[in-house]
Parts: sequence; C-alpha cells; structure tokens
Amino acid sequence: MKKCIVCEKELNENIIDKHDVHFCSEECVKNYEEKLKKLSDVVNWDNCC
Amino acid sequence: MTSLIGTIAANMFNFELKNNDDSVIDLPEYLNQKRLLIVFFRGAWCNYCKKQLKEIQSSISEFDKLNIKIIALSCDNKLNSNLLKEFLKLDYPVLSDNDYKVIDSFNFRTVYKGKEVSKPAIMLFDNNGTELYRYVGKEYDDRIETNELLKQLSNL
Repeated sequence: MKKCIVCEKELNENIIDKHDVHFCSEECVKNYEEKLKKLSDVVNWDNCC
Repeated sequence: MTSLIGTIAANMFNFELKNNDDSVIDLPEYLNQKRLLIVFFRGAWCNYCKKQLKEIQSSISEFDKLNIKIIALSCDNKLNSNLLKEFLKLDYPVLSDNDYKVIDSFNFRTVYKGKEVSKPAIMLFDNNGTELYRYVGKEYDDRIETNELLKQLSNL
C-alpha cells in the first residue's frame, strides 16, 4: 500500500505525485516544501563542514 | 522522476532496495549492465555524511566512466531521505532502510550516542550482485576520500 511521505496515511485515491514520491494532499506537499526550504535556508555549505 | 519501478528479477543480490515511494527497485534493470556502488551513511543529521554525498555527486561523471551507478542508503525515514536528496541536489537515489534490513545484512548496524545507525561504508557490486569491494569506516569520521575511492575502483 502506498503511503503519503509526510503523514504516512495510506493512499487509496487522489494520489499526488511530486518530488519522486506520493502525497495525500496539497497540504502535505506544502509541508514537505516548507521543510525543504527550511533546510536550504539554514545551511551555508561554505561553512557547514 | 527516476523510474525504478518494477519487481526483482532473477539476480544474485541478496537484498531488496525500495524507492522512497515504496516501489521495489529492479536492480538488474536499474543497473543496465553497470556496477552498483552503495554508500551507507549515518543519517541526514551527519555533516560528514553530507559532505561525502556531495563529493560523490561532484564526481558522478567519473563514476559513470567506470560504469558505476550509485545509491545512498541510511536508516533515516523516507521523508528525511527524500528531503536530503533534494536538499543536496543529488542525482542518485537516497533510500531509507529504517527497518535496518539491508544495513543488518552486512552487519553495519552500530550505536552512536544512543542512536542505532549504519557504519559509514561503501560497497561495490557487479551487476549480478557479486561483491567487488568494500570500505567500512572504523569511526564515524573515517571515510575514504572520493579521489582515492575512484582510484581504487578503477583498478577493479
């Protein structure tokens, strides 16, 4: 059974395919994209490691 | 999307790899006669790991010249694995093994500050699943330099 990558709900219909994975809703897509943006905002690769 | 969907065909790989969308990777199809390099890393929180994954990405054309395809894997969940792949802009899959099935099949599970993680390790297989090379870090910061790795792999 496919699951939403963010909330891990089982997906039956209305599957959203984005970012190479599945989401149950646009809200979860937004949540994912916010996490990604947060990661990109906080790390400066020149100073990171 | 890199399409890796399929079922495991007859092959000698004694483990199964799944994409972050839960589809099983058909390794012989994915490899298409190339060799498979698996980079076992501790997790998205580990800066040594991120640095190594970025370095490997920078040399991806060199690995390609050696007929090598790359997959990175840790015990992170699927969400964090996918976020890491996108965050680091990696062209190769970053997979989740959060039930430790693959990590345990090579006895790479270890404990770091109370957290069960994979030892940092690199393994190379031919397209039939025969192991050709492995480098296992003795400590969390023990990684083979990518240039040195390429040099060693070019001799295999």
